[in-house]
Amino acid sequence: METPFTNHLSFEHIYEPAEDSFLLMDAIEADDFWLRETVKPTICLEIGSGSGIVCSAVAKFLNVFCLATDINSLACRATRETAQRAGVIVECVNADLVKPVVTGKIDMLIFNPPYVPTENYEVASSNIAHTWAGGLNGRQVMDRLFPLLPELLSERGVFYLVLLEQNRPQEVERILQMQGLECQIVMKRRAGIEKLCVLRASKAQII
Amino acid sequence: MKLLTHNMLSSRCIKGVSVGYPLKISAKNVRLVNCDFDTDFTVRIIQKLDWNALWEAAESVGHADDIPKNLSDIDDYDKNDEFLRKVHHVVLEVEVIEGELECPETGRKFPIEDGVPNMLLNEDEV
Ligand SMILES: C[S@@+](CC[C@H](N)C(=O)[O-])C[C@H]1O[C@@H](n2cnc3c(N)ncnc32)[C@H](O)[C@@H]1O
Repeated sequence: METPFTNHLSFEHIYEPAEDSFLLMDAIEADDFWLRETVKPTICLEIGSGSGIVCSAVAKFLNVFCLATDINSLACRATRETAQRAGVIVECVNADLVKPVVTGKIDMLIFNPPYVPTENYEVASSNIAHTWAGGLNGRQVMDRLFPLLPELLSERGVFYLVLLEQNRPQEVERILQMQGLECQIVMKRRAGIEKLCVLRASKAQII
Repeated sequence: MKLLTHNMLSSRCIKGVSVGYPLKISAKNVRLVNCDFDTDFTVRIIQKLDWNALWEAAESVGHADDIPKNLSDIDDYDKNDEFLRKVHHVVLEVEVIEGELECPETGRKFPIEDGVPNMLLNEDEV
């Protein structure tokens, strides 16, 4: 997967691509064959696209229409610029999680959430806090998404989520399994003090 | 905002709104862009579309002549190159740069600036 350029951006108010961003891209790239042959995604949605590096890379890599949301309007702007420079289409909406997105259409959902455990009041306290502050167990933001997944995803929909060890990946798996999703940790990596992994959840058993 | 994006947005997240779809478009600035055409991709996109919402959106930005009001009027659309190219044009090449989306039930307006709809809600709206 080609890494889109982000050197036109300043990272004062948006997330600068880091190990977690690259881990997510690598996990998707490793599923190349399965995605193309089995899932055959038409519509992809990235939540919290930030600089736009991940969705732009995915839009170039797979023949999909990419939508993105971010709660930070500067990130939406950055995502558009990054996509333009990479010569791909990514459409960005300034929104909270997937609130304005209609149900049943998303074949591929990706999220590198704010996952760092913090005090709850720190979540959403600034544009930069949005990029990392995850509240209790780092789960405050992503936990709001989980109940929406079965409706949001299409029949063959898959979901890729970056998690930190402190987010309790096994507990997340159980929550998603209770929604009827099949779960698997597809990649793990240590980045400095962070133990990161990517969880893949899919609606149908399409392995 | 492309019309394909509009096709996938609703205002159902507003408190008291039951469907919130399709959102009305009022466009102040519409731009045409070029995108590569791909037959297979366009067919797959059509399968995802809410056709009525697309037609209404096309009408509101002055492109209703490009596509039929009813998809069922077109036989074997997946083999109709001329039709597929028109759909491709309407869903991907027409972009609302400045304007507003409006909730069909409450009239709540969402501004579109630089092609990005702002669909953030205040706490008292959810
Ligand atoms: C860790 S950064 C990831 C950025 C980018 N996807 C990447 O991997 O480099 C998390 C992103 O999520 C966004 N975000 C945080 N809370 C959000 C919410 N409730 N809805 C939408 N986006 C959110 C932040 O603004 C930030 O851009």
